[in-house]
Amino acid sequence: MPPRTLHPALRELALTVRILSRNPSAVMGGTIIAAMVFLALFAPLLAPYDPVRLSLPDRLLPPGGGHFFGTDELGRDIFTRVLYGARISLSIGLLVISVAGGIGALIGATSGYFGGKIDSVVMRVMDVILSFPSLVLALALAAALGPSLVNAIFATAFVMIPKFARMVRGEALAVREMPFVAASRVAGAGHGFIIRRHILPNCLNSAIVLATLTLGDAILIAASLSFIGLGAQPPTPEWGAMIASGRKFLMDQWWYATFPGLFILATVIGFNIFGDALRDVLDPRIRR
Amino acid sequence: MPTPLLHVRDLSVSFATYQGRAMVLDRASLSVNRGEIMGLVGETGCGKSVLSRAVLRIIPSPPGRIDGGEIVFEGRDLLTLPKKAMRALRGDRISMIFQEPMSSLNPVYTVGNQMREVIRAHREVSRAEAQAVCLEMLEAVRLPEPGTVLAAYPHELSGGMRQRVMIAMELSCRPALLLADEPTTALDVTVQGQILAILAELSAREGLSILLVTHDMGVVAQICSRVAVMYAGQVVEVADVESLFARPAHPYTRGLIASIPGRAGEGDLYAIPGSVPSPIDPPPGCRFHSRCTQSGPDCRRAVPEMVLVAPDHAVACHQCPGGGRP
Amino acid sequence: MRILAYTFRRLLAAIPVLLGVSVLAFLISHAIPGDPARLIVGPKASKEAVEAIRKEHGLDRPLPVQYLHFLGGLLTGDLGRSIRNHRPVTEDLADYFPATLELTLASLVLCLSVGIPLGILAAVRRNRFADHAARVVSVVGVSTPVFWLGLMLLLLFYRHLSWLPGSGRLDVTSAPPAGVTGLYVVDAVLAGNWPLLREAVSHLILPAFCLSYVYLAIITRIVRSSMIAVLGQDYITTARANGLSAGRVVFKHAFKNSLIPTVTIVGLSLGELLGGAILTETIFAWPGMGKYVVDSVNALDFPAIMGFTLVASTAYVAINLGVDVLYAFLNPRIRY
Repeated sequence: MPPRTLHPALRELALTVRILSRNPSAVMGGTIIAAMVFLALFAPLLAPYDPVRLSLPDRLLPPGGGHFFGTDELGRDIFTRVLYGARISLSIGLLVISVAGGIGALIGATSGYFGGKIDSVVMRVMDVILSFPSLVLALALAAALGPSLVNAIFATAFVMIPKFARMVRGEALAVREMPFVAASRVAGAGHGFIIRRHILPNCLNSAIVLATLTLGDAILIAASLSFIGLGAQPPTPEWGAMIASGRKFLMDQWWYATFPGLFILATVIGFNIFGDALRDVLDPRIRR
Repeated sequence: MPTPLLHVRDLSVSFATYQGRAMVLDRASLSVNRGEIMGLVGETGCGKSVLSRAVLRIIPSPPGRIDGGEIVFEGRDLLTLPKKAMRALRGDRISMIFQEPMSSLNPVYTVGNQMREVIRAHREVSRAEAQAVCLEMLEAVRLPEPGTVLAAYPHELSGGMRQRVMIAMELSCRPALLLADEPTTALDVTVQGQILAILAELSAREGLSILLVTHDMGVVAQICSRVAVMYAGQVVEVADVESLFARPAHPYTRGLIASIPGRAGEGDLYAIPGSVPSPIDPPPGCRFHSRCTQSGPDCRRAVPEMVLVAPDHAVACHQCPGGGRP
Repeated sequence: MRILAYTFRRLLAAIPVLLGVSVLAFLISHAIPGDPARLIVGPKASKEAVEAIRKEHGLDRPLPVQYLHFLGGLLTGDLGRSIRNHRPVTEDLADYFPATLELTLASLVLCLSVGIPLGILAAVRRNRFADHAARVVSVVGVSTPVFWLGLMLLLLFYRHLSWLPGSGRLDVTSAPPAGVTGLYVVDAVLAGNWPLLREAVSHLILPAFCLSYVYLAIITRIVRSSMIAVLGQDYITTARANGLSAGRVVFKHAFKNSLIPTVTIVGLSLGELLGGAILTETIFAWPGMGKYVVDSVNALDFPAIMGFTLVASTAYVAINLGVDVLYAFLNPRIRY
C-alpha cells in the first residue's frame, strides 16, 4: 500500500512500475537499457584505455590479452571505443526523440486542437514527409546539410516528426471534445493554456510509449547514416562509423565490425521489448 | 416415453479466469424430443449459451473445459466421439444459428460461396447441385430474389435477411436438431416475429427439433412446446409451456414470469431482488436461496434434485410440494 | 468496373502528394543553408564556375520561379546531370534500376513466403513454442542494423563456409544474360541458360535474405496479430459450427480477412525495403540504385542523390497506390 499522502501521479507511476516488474519482457528490456545507461555513464571509469589515442604497435590485435574485443587498425582498444560509443548512441537516441517528440507533439496538438483548415494542411504536410522511405529522406537531408553528427541527428529527427504529430493529433481530437476542455474555455482560458494544460498532458502515456519504441529506430537510422559516412566522423567512436571502418577489415579481423554491431543490436532490442511491454501496461483497457 | 433426440445429462463446464475457475455449468440436464421446439431460458450469464455450444463441442478451449456429464444425440455420446466424427455431425445433423447475424457471416465471401461450402463439406455434390439446394433453401426462408441474395456480400443485406440466410445455410443439410442461440435478440421487433414464424413452420414441416436459447419469455410463449429454465449454471425447472406459465413451480421461474412486461398487472414491472451469485465461488445449497422469498434452512445446506411434480414437469426446489430431496 | 473507377480516384488523389514530394525535394536541394550552386558543381569548383552555374540554372531568380523550373524538368524526366560523370541522372538511375528491382522483388517474395506462414502458425499456436519462437525472430529482426547483418552474413557464408559468393550480381568473369527485363534471374530463364541462372541465384541469396529479414519480422508480427483478432470473430465460430475442417477455417475464412490489415503494412514496409536496399547493396556491392546513391554521397554528387530520392519516393507512393487497390479488391465492404 502506497502512503496516503502520495501525489496521484506518483501513485500511478508506482503502480506502473509494479506492473512492469511482473512482466518478464519489461524486466528484460529494462535491464538491457539500464546496463547500457550504466556503461555509458561510467565509460571513463570502466574503459581500460583512451578511446582515441593511437598505438600503432597494437594494430588489429584479436580479442584476448588486454583487449576484450581486440584493437582497430590504429591500435585503439575496441572495447573502450564501444563503451564510449554507448554514450554517443544513447545521446543520439535521446536527442532525436526529444527534438522529434517535442516538435511533433506541438504540431499534432495544435493541429488536432484547432481542427479544420489548419489541421488538414498540417496533416497533408505530414503525409508528404511520410511519402519518403525514412532512410532515403534522412539520407537526402543529411547529404544536403553536409556530413556531421549534428546534421545526422537533425535529419533523423526530421523524418520522425510525423509519427509523433499524428499520434498526438489523434489524442488531441479526442481530448478537445471532453467536458473539462469546454469548461476551461468557458472559464476564459486561452488556446495556448488549454493546449499546455489539457491536451499535451493527456497525450503523455502514448507519447512515452511511442518515444520508447522509436528510440530504437532513431539509433538504427542514425547509425545507418554514420555507416554511409553522413553521420559521426572519425575518430568519434560511434558504433555505425566503427562498423564502416571495420568493414574494410572484415575478412581477416572479424572482431572489428562485429562488436559494435552487437551493441547496437542489444540496445535496440532493449528499447523495443521494453516499449512493447510499456504499451501493454499503459493501455488503460488492459490495466488491472 | 420415446427416446429423446438429444439428452444432456449432468453436464459440467468451467472456464479459467484470472480470479479462478468459473463453474459455468454445474450438472445441467435437459432433453429435446424429435420435432419439438424446446425453449432454454434464463438471465444473461446463466450458462444457456454455453450449454448449446457444448452440444456442438465448440467451446473455446482453453479457457473452457467440459468437466463431466454426457450429451447423447441419436444414441451416441457426443463427448466421447472422435474429433472427425464430431466434425461430420456439425452443420449436417446438428446446426447452429447465433445472435448476431451482422457478424456471423464472413464479410469477404458472398452468401452463395459460404452456403455452398457448407453443403459440399457434407455432401458429395457438384457446384450446380449445391447451388440448386441453396436457392431452394433461400425460398424456404421466404427470401425474395434468392439468386440476387446468393451473389451478395453479407454487408449488402439487412439484419433480418442475414438471419434468414443463416437459417437457410444451417438447414441446407437437413439437420435433425437446430441450436438457435438468441436468434432474434439483435433484430427489430417486426422482423423477430417473421423469423420465429419461419422457425416454427420449418419445425412443423420438416420434423426439425429446435433448442431455442433465449432470455425472452415472450418468445418462449410464442413458439416453444416445452421449456427448461436455467439459473446460475443449473437447470432448475423443465415443463411443457402451458404448465410452466400456468403453474410455475420454482420461485425463480415465478419471478421470471412476473417480470414479463404486461404480465405483472397494472403499474410497476417486477424485478427479482438481489443478483446472480458468482460462478467462481458459488454458495452452498440451492443457488437461488439468497434471492428467494421462501428459502428455508434446507435451501442453504443441500443442492435440490430435480423431481417430477406432475407428468412432464420437473423442478429442483426444496420448497415445492414433493420437491427437493426425494 | 468499380475497381477501375476506384483506382482512377486514388490515382487523382496521389497527384497532390507527389506535388508535395517535389516541393519538399526542391526545398531540400535549394533552400537549405548552403549554396545550391555549389552543391551542383561540387566543393572543388572555382568561384567563377559557381557563379556561372548560378546564372545558368537561374538560381538568382525567386524561389517559386525556380520551383516551377524544377517541376518542369521533373515532368519531362529531367533530374539534372551527375557531377561525377556528367551524364543525365535519369539515365544513370535507369541503368541501375533493374538490379534494385530484382533484389527488392526477391526480398519481398522471401518476406511473404516465410513471414505469412510464420505469423499464421504463431497465431494458431498462440502462447506455445511456435509463437514464442516467432516473437524472438521478429523482435531481433526489427532491432538488427541491416548493414551489420550483411557483414555477418558475409563473414559466415562467404568467408568461413564459402557456400555463397559475396559480391555483385554475377561472377566477375561472366557476362550478363541477354534479355529484356534486366532481372538476371528472369533473363537467364528466358534464355534457357541454366548455369547462369544458378550463378545469378547464388549471388542473389545473401543480399535478398539480408534485406528481407527486418521486413519479415514486421510481416510476421502483423499477420500474427490480425490473425488472432480474426480468429475471435463470430463468423469463425459459424464456420466451426458448420463442421468445416480446421484447415478451411484458418486458411479460407480467417486468412483472407487477416490479409486486409496485412496488405497495408506490406505496402508501407515495401517503401522501407527501398531504404534498406541502400545499405544492402552497399554491403554486397550490388550494382543497384542504392549503391549508386551511396557512391554519390561519397562523391558529393548532389543531383544524383536528389534524383534517387525522388525516384524512391515516387515508387513508394506508387506502391501504396497499388496496395490501396489491392485492399479494395480484398475487402468488399470498402466504399468505392
